[in-house]
Amino acid sequence: MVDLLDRYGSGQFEPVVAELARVTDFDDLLQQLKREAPAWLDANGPADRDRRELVAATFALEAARADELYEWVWIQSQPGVAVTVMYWKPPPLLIEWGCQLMRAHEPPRPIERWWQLAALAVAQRSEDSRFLVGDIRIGRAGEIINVQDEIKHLDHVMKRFPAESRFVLAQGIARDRYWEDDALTAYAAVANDVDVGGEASMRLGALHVKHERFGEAILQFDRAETLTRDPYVIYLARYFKGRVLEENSRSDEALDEYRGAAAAWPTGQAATVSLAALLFRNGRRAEAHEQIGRMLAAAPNAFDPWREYVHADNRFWPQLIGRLRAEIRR
Amino acid sequence: MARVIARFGLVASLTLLQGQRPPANPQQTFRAGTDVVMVDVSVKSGDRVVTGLGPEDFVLTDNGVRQRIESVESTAVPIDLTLVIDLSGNPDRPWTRRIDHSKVVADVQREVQEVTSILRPTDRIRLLAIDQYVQQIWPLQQVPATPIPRVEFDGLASVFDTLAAALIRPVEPARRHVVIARTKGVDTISAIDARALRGIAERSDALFHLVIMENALGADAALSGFQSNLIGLVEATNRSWLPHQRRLVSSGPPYQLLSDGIAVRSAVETAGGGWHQARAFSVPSLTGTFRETFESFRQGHMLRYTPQGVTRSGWHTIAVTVPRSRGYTVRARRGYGIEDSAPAPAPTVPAVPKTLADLTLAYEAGAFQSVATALRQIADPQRLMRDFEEEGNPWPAAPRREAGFAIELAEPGVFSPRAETRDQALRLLNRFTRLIRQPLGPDVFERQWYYTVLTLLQGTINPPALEAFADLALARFPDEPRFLLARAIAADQRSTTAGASRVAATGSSQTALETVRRQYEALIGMPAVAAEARVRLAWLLHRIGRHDDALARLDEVDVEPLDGSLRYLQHLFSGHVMNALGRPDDATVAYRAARAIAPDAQSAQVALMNGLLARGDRAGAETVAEVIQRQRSTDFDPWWMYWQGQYRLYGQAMARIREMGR
Repeated sequence: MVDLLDRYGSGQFEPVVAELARVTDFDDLLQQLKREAPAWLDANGPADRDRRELVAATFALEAARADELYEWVWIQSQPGVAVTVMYWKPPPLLIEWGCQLMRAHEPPRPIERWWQLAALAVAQRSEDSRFLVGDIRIGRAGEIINVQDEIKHLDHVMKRFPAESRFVLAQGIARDRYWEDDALTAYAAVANDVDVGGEASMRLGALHVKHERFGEAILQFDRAETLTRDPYVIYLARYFKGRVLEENSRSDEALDEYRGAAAAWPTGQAATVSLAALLFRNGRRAEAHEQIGRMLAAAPNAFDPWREYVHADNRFWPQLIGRLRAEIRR
Repeated sequence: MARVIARFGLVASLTLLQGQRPPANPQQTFRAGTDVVMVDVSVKSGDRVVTGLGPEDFVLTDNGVRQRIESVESTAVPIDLTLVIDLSGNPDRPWTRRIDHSKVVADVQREVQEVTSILRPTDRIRLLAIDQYVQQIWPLQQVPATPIPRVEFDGLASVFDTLAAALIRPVEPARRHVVIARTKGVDTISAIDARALRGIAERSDALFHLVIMENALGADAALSGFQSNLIGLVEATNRSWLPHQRRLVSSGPPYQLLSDGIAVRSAVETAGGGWHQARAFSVPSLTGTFRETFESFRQGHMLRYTPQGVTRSGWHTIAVTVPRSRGYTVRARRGYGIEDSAPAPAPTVPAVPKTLADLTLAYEAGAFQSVATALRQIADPQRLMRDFEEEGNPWPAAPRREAGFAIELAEPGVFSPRAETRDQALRLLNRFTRLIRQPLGPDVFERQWYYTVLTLLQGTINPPALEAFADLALARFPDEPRFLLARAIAADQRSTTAGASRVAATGSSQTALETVRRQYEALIGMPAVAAEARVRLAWLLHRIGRHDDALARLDEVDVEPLDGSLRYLQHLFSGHVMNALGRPDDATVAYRAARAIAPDAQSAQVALMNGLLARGDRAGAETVAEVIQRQRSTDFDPWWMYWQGQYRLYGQAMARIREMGR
């Protein structure tokens, strides 16, 4: 463990990440980290302590990300009982371990904002909101009984960065699939925010679509375009609007929206396939062929915002980890 | 399957054919001798394939009109095979083990090799995989194909999207396109639905076979049951997002067709292909299905006819029968489509862009100078800016380009003599201060964008507007020296336009000048702008009568690198200050130094002429005067732009923005 931390701290990021990809027992890795990191943090004296904390906390994030596709949490039902028991697997515990290191500083250091954004990206990629906001089944069958084990990571983060609108947006995203009223409240709170207002409007629109409130949805999608130029948001707003229009037999308008979405994010498979499918069925075969040909020729699995919709800020991972690594190198 | 080819020329599609023709009439009918339709027909009597049939054996109608079959061939037409394999995960299982990537690749490789071993050298194959994304593992290529590279697997399933991508493909006239897909039939993330897929399959040129992976479905169901019921795990705890759960068949035996499955099966059969599910103890495989299809091709008939009496464009429904033997089963696709609209010509970049559409086109093509020139000549910049706002973002994938274009549009506006035009231009720029913000925080482009806007606004000598934008920029980049300098210049411009430059300033204007002085002095500690701050501070000090201090600041600049304009101003100001200090000889030396930097600039020439005259050197003064009179009014003089601050750098700044927006 000490060797991995040393190497990570000396800037050998990719070799360490490659090594993490070969680890199969992250429980053991977490225990080693807890056991050996405290001495390692102090090994270079107080002058290097802050940097080493960042190294260890960022290493923990990398480890969590390496394992999260395979394990995150177990929710186990109890025979004859309506409640369930939650067992965290290593990735959320690694994040929480890193978060504790970060939270030891008052007031928060500027780099903590970046670390917390990166931690959010990892957590959102897991698709599980329990880690961020607690039991998603509270008040329903399957409610978690061991509430003392809840982490509610976003609560920690909000206390540290109450003015960071991206964390407020994350509250909405985390509740989107389970507690829609809360999600609506969170989205509404940042709907006019200069940084996340566009995304909040787009996600609000998507929520309206889910309940077939198509008119309200279209208003939100149009609004999103006035608030941001983020191609990710524009793509999704146009793609969702296209779906609504197609669903309502407004094919020509849907075509325009799909075409607009594909223009905003040319490698987006969802809009491209929707566009090509509609064109092909309307007899416009050459354009359909061109769209599909271009899509298939693109880099394998080029990011499609729809296919990563629930992963939210994971789209920023390269920038976020780049920022943390740059700080470690300093 | 049916394909249409042109007799004269090698064409891959009717769209290409269109390019060789006069503009199409939508109601035009087929012209004899121009188009040929080829239809693959398989004829069976029970399980026995019927071969050796001739043109007279078939009856074929095209949109209800009987056609004359010109030939029936049984040739070995090359095949373009698209294999589609399903590598998606089980959406119902609560958790997963690590899956060995190399094993997945090896399994796929083995299975696909079985198929490629059947193909002939003239055949081609491409391989698509169903997972969270539509994956093209191999583009169309001849066998033997290259080894399978990395594949993604165990994600959500884009079944319908991948099948659509397989089917929407142009077919070369002399080849057959066969799609054989093997899937669990559980779609969880596709953008399109089964109804849309059916519409595509019905109009596709491909022969489409679908194999349902019942064994895999059974294994998925067993795993979910084991984990959920026996271990007591609930919910999918590592992949809980399932946008859809659309199934073609039920999850367990007897794997009954569900409504989506009925739709897709109908489409498959309409297109002349087959739906393959287990029958008794026989489980269909990819290889077996292809082998069967291949055999059917080898023993099939290809009918060729030239459509007569039907409208060329649109959908053509075909019906093929063998009337003399009513017991035969005839399988052929049920139609084909022809797109008769000519492709829109690519827009050309106008030499002199005038409309917003012209300007955006030219800007996108990189014709920046012609755009900038055109914008400066446009009579109604207000209307252009209004159109720009109303028509929305012309480059949704390139927001930087749009933000740069906004500055270009605003430039003539901010210099307009009309107040409402200036206001509109400032509103446009202000709107973009929101739109250029990146989700995670300020970035290099935003910094450069503000810098460019600030250099532009310094040129307008509109201190309130400059201050407002400098404040916005500093809110995002609090320590940026160039933005602090812009704010100091705004204050300096304000003090001058308010008449505070006179030595006998009023109390309030003295306060204003003091504020400017402090701002410039603070900037002297910032290397990026220190030299310019010193020159400007020196001129301010000279204006308020502190000539010694002014000279000291100018002397400090001697050792600093400066652009030509600032170096010129340093010498020019030195001359003026020395004159004020009663050192005319030194002043003359300074003016000569300024003239050496910018020989055509008038301000140093005039100062030199005056200095020579004051010293009694009338001949020298006259010589300089003659030089001045020969100069063109267009010659640049840095002094003329002194009060426009860093506007001299606007061109460079804008060039960088254009580069970043490409």
